[in-house]
Amino acid sequence: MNQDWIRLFIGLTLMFLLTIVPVPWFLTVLRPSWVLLFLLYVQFYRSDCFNLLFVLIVGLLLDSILSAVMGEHIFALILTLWSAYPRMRRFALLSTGIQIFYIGIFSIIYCISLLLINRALNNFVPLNTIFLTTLANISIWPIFRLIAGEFYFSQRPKQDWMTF
Amino acid sequence: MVISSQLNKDRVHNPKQANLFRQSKRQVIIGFVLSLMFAVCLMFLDIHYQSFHVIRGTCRLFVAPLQYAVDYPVRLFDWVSALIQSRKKLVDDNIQLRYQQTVLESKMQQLLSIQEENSHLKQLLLTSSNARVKTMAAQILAVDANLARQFVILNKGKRDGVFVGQPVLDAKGVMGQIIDVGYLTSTVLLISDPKCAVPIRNNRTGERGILVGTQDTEALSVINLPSTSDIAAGDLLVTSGLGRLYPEGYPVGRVKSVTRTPGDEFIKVLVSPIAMLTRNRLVLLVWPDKQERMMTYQIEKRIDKMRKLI
Repeated sequence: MNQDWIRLFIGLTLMFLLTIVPVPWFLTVLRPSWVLLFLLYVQFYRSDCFNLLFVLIVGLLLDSILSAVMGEHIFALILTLWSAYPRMRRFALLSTGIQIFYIGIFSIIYCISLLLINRALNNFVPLNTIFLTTLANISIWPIFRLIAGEFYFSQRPKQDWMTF
Repeated sequence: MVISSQLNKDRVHNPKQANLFRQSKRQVIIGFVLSLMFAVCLMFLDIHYQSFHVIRGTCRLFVAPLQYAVDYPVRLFDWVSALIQSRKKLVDDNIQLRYQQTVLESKMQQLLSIQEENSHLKQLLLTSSNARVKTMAAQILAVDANLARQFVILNKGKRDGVFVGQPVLDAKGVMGQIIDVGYLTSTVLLISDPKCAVPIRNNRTGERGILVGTQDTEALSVINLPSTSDIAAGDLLVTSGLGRLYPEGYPVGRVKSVTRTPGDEFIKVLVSPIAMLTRNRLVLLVWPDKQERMMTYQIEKRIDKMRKLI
């Protein structure tokens, strides 16, 4: 279990780094929501490591690192993960195309929550960020799932895979 | 390649994963609802209570190493690029910089004498003279922040004496103000953010106004200027010193265009900022001198007293 949490911590650190790494201005709106994708992956594929306290802490750190209002990303993440909860058991069994469709839905929920909160706080967020960020998320999801799968499952002992 | 059914087998035979599914639906819904309410309360507290910024500062302490980790490779890349630049380009840059330095030094001599004369004139008028202000150089970390706001992150924080509301300048003019301070880093709200307002004065006519951001780093706007204002393209706008936030006399922007619509009470003025808001790495943090701080404190005390009377 400790090894799992260490890997989770490393993965999360990497997601935070990818969130703030500087990119050319035209790629800024095409940046995927790395932390959201990571939490969705953990919720669907590693639900033993998933709990709300973990999400709250991640959301708090995301708010700090992006200099946003405290609670903004927590709200958006919780709302999105709650909408993803009914799909939790069967998501891993779905085909890649259906998974991409659902990731697109969850991404839209996440982006709209952030947009509404920012508009309520009189912060300007262009509407096209919803579509562009969702496009980036659904494009990256298959590769993300594969790489995360290699990282989180490749170290398991062989006999686990042999068990029926 | 990992097939999703294999992952599912692994999950089903792990008893710890089955625990989550044993939780009743009601417990899960209560958990999510409470978390959402917590998030909303957190947003409310952060916006309305200044003392909540202590928690934000503590969180920033944990994320500061990540910001530095992103910044160092960018700085390393810049350093390596500078190392492999052609010798001819370096010699040309050197000559140009020396020429600029000579021109600036001669202008500085003129400005010093004008400053001295200004100080004498103010003494004659029995007003306080501009005392020297303390400054500190800071570096902008190469970190992308929130899309919705115009922020940059500096590598100076509470340990360096940075405080909320502190003005930030660059070599050419006003950049913004500090809105959040952590122990190691701080956040600067740029003047191009719609929530940033700078009290300005037209250097040519002396007319005062408020400059606000438009989310565009190349265009700012002067608001509520009456249609009878004497302002033209090319006018230099400097800080007026009103509000006692920005020191007086620092360049902010140059008027790009003035649009007068017949029948409208106010005119639309677009201003291009003088500071290099997106192309800068070094900035200057300014501390007001003791006299200025005392005066600001007395003014704020008076305003509070008047508010209580009302």
